[in-house]
Amino acid sequence: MGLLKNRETDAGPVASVATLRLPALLLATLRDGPTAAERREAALELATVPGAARDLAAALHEEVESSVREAIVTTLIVIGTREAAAGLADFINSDDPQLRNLAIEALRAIGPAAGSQVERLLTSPYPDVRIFAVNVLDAFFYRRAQDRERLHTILQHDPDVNVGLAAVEALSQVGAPEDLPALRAFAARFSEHPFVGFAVDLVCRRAAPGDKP
Amino acid sequence: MRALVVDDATTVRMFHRGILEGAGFVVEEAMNGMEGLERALSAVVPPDLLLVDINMPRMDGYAFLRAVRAEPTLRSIPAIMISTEREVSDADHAFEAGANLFLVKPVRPDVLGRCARALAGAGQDMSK
Amino acid sequence: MSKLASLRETAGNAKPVAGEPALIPISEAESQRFQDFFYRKTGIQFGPTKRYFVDRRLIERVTATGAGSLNVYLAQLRYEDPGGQELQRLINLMTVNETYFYREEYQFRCLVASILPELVAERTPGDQRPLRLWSLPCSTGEEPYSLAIQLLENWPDVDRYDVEIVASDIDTRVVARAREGLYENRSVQYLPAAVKARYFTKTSDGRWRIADDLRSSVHFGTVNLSDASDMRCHKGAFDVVFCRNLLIYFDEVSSRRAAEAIFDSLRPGGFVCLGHSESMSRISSLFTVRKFPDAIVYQRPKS
Repeated sequence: MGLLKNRETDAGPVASVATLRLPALLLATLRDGPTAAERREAALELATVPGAARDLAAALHEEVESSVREAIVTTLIVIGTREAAAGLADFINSDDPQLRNLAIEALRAIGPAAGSQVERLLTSPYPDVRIFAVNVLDAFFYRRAQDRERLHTILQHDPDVNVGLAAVEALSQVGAPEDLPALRAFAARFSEHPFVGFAVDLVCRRAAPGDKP
Repeated sequence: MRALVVDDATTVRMFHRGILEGAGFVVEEAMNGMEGLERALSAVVPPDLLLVDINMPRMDGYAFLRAVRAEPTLRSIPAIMISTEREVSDADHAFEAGANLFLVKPVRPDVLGRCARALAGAGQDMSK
Repeated sequence: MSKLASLRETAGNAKPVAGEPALIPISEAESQRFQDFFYRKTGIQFGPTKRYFVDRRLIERVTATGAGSLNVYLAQLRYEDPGGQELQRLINLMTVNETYFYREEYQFRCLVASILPELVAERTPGDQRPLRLWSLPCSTGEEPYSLAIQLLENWPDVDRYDVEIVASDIDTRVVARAREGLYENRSVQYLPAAVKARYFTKTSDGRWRIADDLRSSVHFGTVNLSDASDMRCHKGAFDVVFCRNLLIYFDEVSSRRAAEAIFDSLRPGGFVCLGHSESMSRISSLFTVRKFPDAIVYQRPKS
């Protein structure tokens, strides 16, 4: 009883080290493994198999266990390809808030490789999908001029006030003087909402301290 | 009175903070549901009002409210859920999760101020 | 000609003169390149404020190995370090270890007052497995030894159950020092006098040696949290993991992966404690938030 001395127990690993498995076996376990633990394990091991992105996304459609969903998403982030982003983008419109938010988080982490998905989602007729697309863009737009342009276009033209507000939020961290005209245009379009004026003022002040908002 | 504002957008948190402080609240913030839960649990005095966004990373607004309602010390704190979504079904989800009120973004300051005081201040002197 | 040999040709293979500080300039881009390499290997990222810290230590290794330039050094790391010894030396140099006994003591109180009682209450009768605690990173041993002392001093049930304390770090030097169990005043200053008297003896050079009994009660080893095969060895092994003030150095993706690894290292229903200013709310949704009187900790769901 009490604290076990290190000569009494084997101080090394508890479980035997599994040898690395073939992708086909991993995918089968991911789909059909009876326990969450083995499906998780398979999902995490697939991080070294970029070609598995599509299958991982397919598995995400069927998987109900939270811990396995997390593992699948972690692996898709690590793979980080355009294909992984395409698989994840399917979930932006999901009714399941957990899947929706996991997808947004993952696309943000993947970054510019998710760019074409963002572009596509921004053309959705549903304002909420466009908001989520801006939430994703928020994480990496400052790396590419064309993504900054996208935010300006949204501020100038998107018919839904909350889509524009998501763009304002994106600019609140890394706004620059070049964003001011689009921000002001947005404020003018939706002047009836007190929050719009507040948010645009705030972001303009941060983007160009010393300039009048 | 104390309020906890849970929202992933900085601009929204700042706006709601301003409104609630104007309505007499001391405001704490969290940027996702999990952080909100941690703040609510570790507060020496639990908040008198929760203002909760729906779509947040890590733990969304519904999950946050369900977790709060499962905690004996937080169970009966009034909660206003705020969302961009206008469909009736979302209001249903909000009430099922334990919200007392559902407001659509962007919120008007006078509306939020009045609702906040009404919900949190029940029993308090509302003449100010 | 091999890639490495051709690199040496271009670098001119300048051998440092003994006693002379090496003048090896490292550009911003080169520093970034190294940091990307280091991050991929260890999951550890340094912020821009750490640039001087990183460059200085890098230059130290570039000089010590006679590489002469950063390019050659990195190539050596990739192609001429089959046992990983130079990589290990590099890691040891880059990781900072500052700790002391009873650091963030409220979590130890929580362990004894809340976590362990719940774990034993949940056990099926007849479950003889030891309770297993993991200190990761253990640094120079203050944390795992603090755990041992706290259990002996404050846990009334310590004699009713077998407890195994495992302590691991990525840095082999600190693990070696932890095994030695010799500490400066600075390390032991927050221990109550009675506790210090019970478990330490003062050495002739004014340091404090922890009792042999305790030294043999902790299982020390080397582990890289970001290495999948390292972590695979510890699947489902632990009841409580202390992972304090480590993930704070990880970026979003590597901290997410680390959380997966910690989750897998826990038994269902097991707990993880992070550092005072850390929160799973920035890292992962895998765990349930648990509030106890002394601390907020995180739990792997039971089923």
